[in-house]
Amino acid sequence: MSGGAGSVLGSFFQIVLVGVLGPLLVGWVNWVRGVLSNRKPPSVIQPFRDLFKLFRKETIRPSGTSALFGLAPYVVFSAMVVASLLIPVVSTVSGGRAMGDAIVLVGLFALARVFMALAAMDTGTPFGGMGGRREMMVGFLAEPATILVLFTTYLLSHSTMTGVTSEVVREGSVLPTPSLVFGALAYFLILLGENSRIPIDNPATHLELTMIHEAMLLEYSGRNLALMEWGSSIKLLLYLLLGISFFLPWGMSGSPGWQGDLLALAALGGKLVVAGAALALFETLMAKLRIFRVPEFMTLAFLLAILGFLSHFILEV
Amino acid sequence: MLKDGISPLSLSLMVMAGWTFCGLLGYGLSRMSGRVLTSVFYWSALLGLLLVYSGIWSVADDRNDALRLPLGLPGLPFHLRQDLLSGYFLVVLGSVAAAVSFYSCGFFKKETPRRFGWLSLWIPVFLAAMTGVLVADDAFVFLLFWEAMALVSFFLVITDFSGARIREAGFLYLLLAHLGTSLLLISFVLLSLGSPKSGLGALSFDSLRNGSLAPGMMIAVFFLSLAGFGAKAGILPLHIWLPEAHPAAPAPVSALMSGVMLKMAIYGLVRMDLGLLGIKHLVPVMGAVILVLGAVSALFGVLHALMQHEPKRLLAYHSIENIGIILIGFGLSILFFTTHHPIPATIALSASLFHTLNHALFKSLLFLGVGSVIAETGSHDINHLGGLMRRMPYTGFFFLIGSLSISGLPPFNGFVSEWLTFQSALWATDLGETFYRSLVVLAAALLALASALTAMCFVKVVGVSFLGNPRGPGAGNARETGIHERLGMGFLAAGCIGLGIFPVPVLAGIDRVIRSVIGAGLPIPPLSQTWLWLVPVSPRQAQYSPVLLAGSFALVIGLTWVVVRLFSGKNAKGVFPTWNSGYPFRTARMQDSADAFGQPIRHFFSPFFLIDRHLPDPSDPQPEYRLKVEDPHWKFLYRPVTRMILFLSGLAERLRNPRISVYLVYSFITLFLLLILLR
Amino acid sequence: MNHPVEQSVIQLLGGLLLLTVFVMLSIRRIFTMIRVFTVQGIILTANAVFVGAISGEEHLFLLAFFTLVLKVVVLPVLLFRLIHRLRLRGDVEVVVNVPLTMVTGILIVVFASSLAAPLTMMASTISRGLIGFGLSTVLLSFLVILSRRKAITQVLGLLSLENGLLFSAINATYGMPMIVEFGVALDVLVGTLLFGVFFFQIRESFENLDLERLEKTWED
Repeated sequence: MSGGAGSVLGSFFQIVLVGVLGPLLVGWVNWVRGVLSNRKPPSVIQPFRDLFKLFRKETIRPSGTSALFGLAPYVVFSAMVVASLLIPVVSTVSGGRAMGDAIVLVGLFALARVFMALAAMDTGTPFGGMGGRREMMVGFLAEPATILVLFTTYLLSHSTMTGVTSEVVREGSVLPTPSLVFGALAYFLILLGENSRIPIDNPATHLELTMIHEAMLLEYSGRNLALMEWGSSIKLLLYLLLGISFFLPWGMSGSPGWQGDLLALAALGGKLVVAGAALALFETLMAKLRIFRVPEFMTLAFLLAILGFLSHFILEV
Repeated sequence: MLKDGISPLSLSLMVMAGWTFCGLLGYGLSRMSGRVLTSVFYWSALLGLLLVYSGIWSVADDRNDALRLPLGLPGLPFHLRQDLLSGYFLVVLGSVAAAVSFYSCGFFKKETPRRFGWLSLWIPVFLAAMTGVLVADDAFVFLLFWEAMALVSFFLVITDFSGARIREAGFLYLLLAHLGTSLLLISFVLLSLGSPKSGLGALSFDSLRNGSLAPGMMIAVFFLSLAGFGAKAGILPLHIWLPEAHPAAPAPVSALMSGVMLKMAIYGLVRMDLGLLGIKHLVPVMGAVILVLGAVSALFGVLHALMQHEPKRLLAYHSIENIGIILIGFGLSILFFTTHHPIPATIALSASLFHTLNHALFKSLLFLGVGSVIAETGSHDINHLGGLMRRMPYTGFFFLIGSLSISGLPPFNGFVSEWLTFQSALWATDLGETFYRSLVVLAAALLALASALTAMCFVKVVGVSFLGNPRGPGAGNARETGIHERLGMGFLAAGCIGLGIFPVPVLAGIDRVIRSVIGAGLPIPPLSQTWLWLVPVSPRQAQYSPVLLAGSFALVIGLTWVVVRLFSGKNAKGVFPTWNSGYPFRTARMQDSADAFGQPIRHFFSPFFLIDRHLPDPSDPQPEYRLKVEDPHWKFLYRPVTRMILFLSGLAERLRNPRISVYLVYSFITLFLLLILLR
Repeated sequence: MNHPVEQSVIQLLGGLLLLTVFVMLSIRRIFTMIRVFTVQGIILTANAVFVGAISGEEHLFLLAFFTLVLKVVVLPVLLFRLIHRLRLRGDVEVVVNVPLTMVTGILIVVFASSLAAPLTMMASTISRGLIGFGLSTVLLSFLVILSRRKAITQVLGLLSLENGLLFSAINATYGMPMIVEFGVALDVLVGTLLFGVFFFQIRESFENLDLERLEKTWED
């Protein structure tokens, strides 16, 4: 518990960084998608403009909603902000002792999901119920799959602490083992499902019959919508960051000192640019799945994760 | 006893006597005066708190008090003992008893004197019987109180005995309870064969503990007792009474049965396997069996819960699930112990014991919440509810807390025990055999799946019954429950939050309990270094600080709130209608129903269910959609068994003959055979 | 143990082989299934090459060459042409629902790997850990055959089963004697050709490749 003040400052810096990078990442993905589909892409900072505009707008309270509806955006946003403190961003050396491990992180994401789904049910509209139900349908397989991916990384590092894991992976061999490859594949599918990306959900449209994320946010407006959207963009960023710290931690700073941190920040920026572009490319190439096929998709993620640690048991011990 | 002052055991016995007295008083007064005197439940609540104190006293001071009462069978006086394990379960019993009793003060006000007399007699006696189970120190006393507990709870289940369905539920419960007790009786007798003493004295726990049995006999005792306690706990496939009995009983009774009585079976299992059989005599296969049973029960319970729209039945299935989670921890601990890995074994056992307490708190909270909802709306179907969060804000809030706890979300208490279970399952790599390793991790995968499904199920319950718009007149006219109900639920909700944020002191207590039972504890005893962090093994491996997490969460929410309020646009005046997707009108029936919410699961896990679905015809002017999901155990296990028994008794029936001389022939043959046999 | 790079590549190949069978279990389209089968052939070739490189067993290179020719070029081309001439398209039927099949698959992997554990101890080859993967592939291919209705997908399952056997053989004993491998390869080729003839016969008699029709005939 050394450096209490320093770690508080560091946490604050990390929150600000994540809060800014989140919308930026979404803007970047949208930009690349625009270019790839031969459209004139929106500016990379368009999400910031949207957020700013939403914050200035009036907030409407739909009829028939309870206090939970107004509370949910704050819970979702705060869960994401707190979650960002559990992931190593630039350095695998954490200032103080972390508040929790990766399982706590999964729990926080689940908390946000439950509140989002509950708020959707609170509107009392058919759409809200549909969105909430579908979100939970994706979640019930994505959450255990994430835990299983954590089991796989645990096999390598003997730790569920995110910082320790990325340190071990970074110092280990560059050659991927089958278990890590399976884990990474499973994680990629989870990332798509959890963040309502193609082929699970299309973040770009309001197509009624297939949407999940938008269906839940349909009745939100003004600052509540801004918080929800901001929180979602941070969630995408956090999933990428967690994936980077588990499967591509090379370039992260391993020792204290600002020079290392700056270098790591540059490396992180590079990785995020590449990852965002890759995500956009994948989304452009894929078609959206039928909603009935979504559980099968998530089962594949679950099974890949199981195969990950089974192959460790079979091969690597 | 009084000579050397008061001991925790004597305190518990006093509480027992007090409860019995309370019951008689309530019954007698309400019968004589013809009035409903709910004030007896105040005393009952107070006694519950005293019991909590007594239990904490035992655990905190490492007390192991024993007592012999000159009652009972010749050669076998009543042996009573309150050690740390009993103390811990007394805390579980006492805290739920206090909250439920306080809730009952308000809840039973509207009862008729006759019904109230019945309830006010049996509820405190039920509590006293459970206390007796926990302080018993010989097989006779244990089974005596065990049977008393079963009988009294049977009386409570059939409180509304005019309904045929309720009588059937009660009968089913009684049947399985007796099946369990007889299995337990056999297992105790088998166990006593190896005890050093002879005669009835062999039945005291002390001599059972020091006995030596052949390994084959050990295995028999283990599996018999597992089945016997399993029938009470609701382990698959002996769970079928739970979804029938819980909806039949009044809400406080269901809360006690699900919150506490099922835990008595857990206590029995721990006592039997770790205390009497002794951890040294167990083999890894036993742990694996418990693990598999637990994992299957967990998944099966939650899947069937997702199919229900009757809230109490839904909660009953969740009890099966949570017992499964507790058993996963217990099985893991036996598996690890018998393969000489004490560290994960103690983590798993503490997770299991902690989940026992957690489940007692949130499950009774949820049952009480459902009880209030049913009392206010008059509806046993959540498809007729909706919008209760606005009409019953307190009940809704407490129910939400219970739901978040049972879903295993941080920073509530359910998360802590699940986190600990995962931490111990992660040690699977240390196990030698590929099969056990895969088994442990697959069980952990099922646990994760079950907990995610639980979250889904409670989004359904809260979303359909408390959020949205009322679907029926009952929900539209509901009002908030009384002050007693609110306080009773509030106590439990505070417990859920408190244990979620400050689990470390409780785990320190559990650590002492585990040390006293198996002689080993957590590598870093909780509280020994810091109360902020929960560290099972080392900070580098895993740590969780619920205090910091909850604190920073609250801080971020508060700051966001303030900043957003300062710098954002205003609230629009008034309330605006929601978007109807272009339809001219919208009714409350267009909202998702509970069945609709469970549809993806029904589709996905269809082999787990027996589904009978009636789809409306397109030309039907009054379309109706009906759905019935049945437990496959009925079709594939219980009905065939019933048919077989009926067939066998039909055969036996043929022996019957109206002529008395035939009976005399039977007697003669029997005598003859016996003489040959005993020659 | 002086070849960490090759070893980890071989392990990765084993994992990928297992993955391909799971993909076979989950997909519905025949074309994709044939492509997956082609990928299996590539994996087998690469595996034979790497094991050969480490162990210095030269016949493995020959084996790799034949695998490449037969399983990556000849058989897929044959199958594609067959499908083309049979004018099959659209979805493949699945008997049990896909998630349940996959869960069964996982249980099979656990079973196979605990079964292979003693074998692994006995074998002396460097890639012996992969025997469990090979065995799992064999059993999972059986599951593919069981869970499918169309004759052509069942043949694909059979071919994948043979791949699993070959994979186990390469890793457990550096391949079977060359003559056996030749024989098996020839059998597979002839078998596929025969199946092709059968498909036409079945279709001409029942106007469908669904085996349900065939079973009905049996009952009649």
